[in-house]
Amino acid sequence: MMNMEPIVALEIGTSHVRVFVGEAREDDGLMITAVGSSPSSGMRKGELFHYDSVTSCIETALRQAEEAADIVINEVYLTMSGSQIESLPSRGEMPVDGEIGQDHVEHVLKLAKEVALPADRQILHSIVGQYSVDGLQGVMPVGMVGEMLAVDVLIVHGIHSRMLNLIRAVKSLKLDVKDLLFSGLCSAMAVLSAEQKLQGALVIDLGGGTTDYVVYAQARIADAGVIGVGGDHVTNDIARAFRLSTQEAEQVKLRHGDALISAAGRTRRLPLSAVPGEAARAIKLRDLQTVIHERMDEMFGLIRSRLQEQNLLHQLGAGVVLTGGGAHMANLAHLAEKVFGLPCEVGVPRNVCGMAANLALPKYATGIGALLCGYKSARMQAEQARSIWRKVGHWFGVGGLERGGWR
Amino acid sequence: MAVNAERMRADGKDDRCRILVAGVGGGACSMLERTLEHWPNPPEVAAVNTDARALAECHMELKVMIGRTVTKGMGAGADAELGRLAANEDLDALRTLVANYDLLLLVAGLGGGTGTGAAPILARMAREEGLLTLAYVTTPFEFEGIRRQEQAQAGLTALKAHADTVICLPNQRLHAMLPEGTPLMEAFSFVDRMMAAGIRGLWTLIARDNMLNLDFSDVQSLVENSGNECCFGYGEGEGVGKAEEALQTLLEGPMLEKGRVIANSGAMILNVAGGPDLSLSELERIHRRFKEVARPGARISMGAAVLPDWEGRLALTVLAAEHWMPSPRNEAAPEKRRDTLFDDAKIPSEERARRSRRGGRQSELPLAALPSERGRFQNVAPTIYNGEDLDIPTYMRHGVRIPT
Repeated sequence: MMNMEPIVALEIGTSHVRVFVGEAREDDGLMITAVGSSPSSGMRKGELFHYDSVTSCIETALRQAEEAADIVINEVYLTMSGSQIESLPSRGEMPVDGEIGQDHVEHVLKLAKEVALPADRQILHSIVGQYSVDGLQGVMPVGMVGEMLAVDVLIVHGIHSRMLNLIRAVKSLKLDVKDLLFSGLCSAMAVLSAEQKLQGALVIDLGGGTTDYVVYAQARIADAGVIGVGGDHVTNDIARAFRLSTQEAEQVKLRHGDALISAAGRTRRLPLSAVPGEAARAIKLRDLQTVIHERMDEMFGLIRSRLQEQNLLHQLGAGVVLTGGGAHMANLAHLAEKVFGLPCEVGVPRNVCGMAANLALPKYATGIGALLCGYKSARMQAEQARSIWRKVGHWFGVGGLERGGWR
Repeated sequence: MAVNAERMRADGKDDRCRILVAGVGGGACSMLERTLEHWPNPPEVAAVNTDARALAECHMELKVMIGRTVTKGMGAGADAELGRLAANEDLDALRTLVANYDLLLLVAGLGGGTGTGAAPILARMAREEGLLTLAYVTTPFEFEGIRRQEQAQAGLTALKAHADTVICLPNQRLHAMLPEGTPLMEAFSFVDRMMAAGIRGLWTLIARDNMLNLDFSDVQSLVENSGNECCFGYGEGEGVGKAEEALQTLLEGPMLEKGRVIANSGAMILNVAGGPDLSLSELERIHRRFKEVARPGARISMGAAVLPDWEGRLALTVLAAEHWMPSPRNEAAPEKRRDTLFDDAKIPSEERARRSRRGGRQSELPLAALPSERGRFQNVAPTIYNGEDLDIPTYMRHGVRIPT
């Protein structure tokens, strides 16, 4: 066992800011020792919108976690979302002469990352899919001999200034950002089993402001992206449909939200809390179901068509895993099953040992996933001297992930 | 294409539009009953009345007796207030009556007690239950007296507040269609026939398996943006030149004020019903003629139905919205709304809000919505996918109607 500092993950979401503190256990597992949380303000659709509100929310969550863990937090793994985040597959190729060494691997990776992005964009992750030597795919190239070395990576990129603003907000609280991570990848990390990654799975993280998705196909990450529609949209739809305030609509959504239109909904009426001076109102459950169904059906449909375009739909042997705060909604998995024609489950963070049961909820997937990423990265650094696989370790299942270099 | 109010249900089956035709008051009920006698595939029809005896004699399947306490089953005695009280007494029965339908075609003769007083309340129940409501009413002849006229006007106003659209057929206007010296009984039975033709026409419009691009959403969009008032016209023709004959009856007759209504309407739905001999060139001629008469930019939706036993006959049914007021979200058409007696200022603001929120179809959706449409996402860059602004509720963009 290695002796490591506590690891801290910070998730600045549209609805909540959360801090997770984890420590390595003797059996190399990770134990969450403290959580801090604050309702978020100043974020819209996963993006920083009001700088001062966001920093004060971060501070609240941070202080809470510090008190609970009795530590001073100096550095965090930070997650990020927003519909500007996109991914694109890329391939690097180079001729080699004789035995392939670590330097060859690093060079071919560098080539793969040389993609032409618009000037305002920056690579967030370049996730190694597979190496191939002379057309033989999925090999561990170091030590092999061959003539042509190639690597397939998935480049996840976003708008540079958005990243900088998020990091600035964190740094203003005298915190270092150890790494910036795409929240969708973190969630997938937290909820998928090794088996599911191997069989192929689609992870959909339904957040407050955005919906992130990550596709594992053929044991590697084949696609990742963000749709700028989240739980806020559902709330807004409900508020508009029934003329409710955002708070009322949120309450109705949390209490009665249902993604399928049921026969029972036709007759059932939901009483709304009466506004003083106004007659008590009620809405039909069926109408509420219709509003939510339309929205979620469309959302899943968007992801489905994107996967269809890339021929990934039939590669999802393990089906669809829903997670994130929005996955708490009733019947959402059933709807997803209908839209994707695949088995679907609600995924909770699983890859953490000794975790208190009340943290095994979909809404904690991103934060806990970030913690796991941080933990693996920290372990890897500690092992660095021994490892020849410095930056290309097995972060996300079979593939590796390299950081964008945010120090 | 049939009744196209298909909302896909979660289980994948389509949810066909269920229509109820309801007559309120003695006049409307007996008229409906007579109409039904000659109807091959009658819709579901209900009678709502305060008069126990009239109701007992009526052969309709669905009957709702209202106001047992207020009227003791003796009818409302031409007192609209009594009709209103009677309906209020049996709100639950009215609600149950409409609860399982999607569209209500409400028929009433205004001016009397039950029709005038109870119809607006039935319309209100229908709206609360989320039905699209078309009210089809008559107003009295002038000779029936000022009191009935006034009562009818008050009923009309109340009905407009609750129904999605009111189609009014003033008997006085029909009067002009009758030759001098027509006996009274004949005048009334003529009104009955016109009403019946209208109901049939509307029914055809809404529910028949039409061959041409007319579906429920056309009706819905017209009705919901009609400023709560539509005009209805009906014309028939037979034999050679049947299309011209029907056109002439319609455009030069008094129902549409010699074509003035068509010339003034921003949008209209036109349905042609004919036999198997209905030809394309006839449809073309009818369409061209309407285009000539209507003002530039008016929206004309046309449908056609073929009825097997209508060889050599042709009927034109028109539903026209003079006060067409498309909500900016649904209609990009640059038509300017005319100044009418149904001015915005006269519409209660809540009513206006209700209307503007209602969605029609989304085909003409502008790329990004108006700022006020965006709710919580007011100042945020819109989420645009394939040209659609996802910040706007999906149900609105898909034209799914959520009652309020």
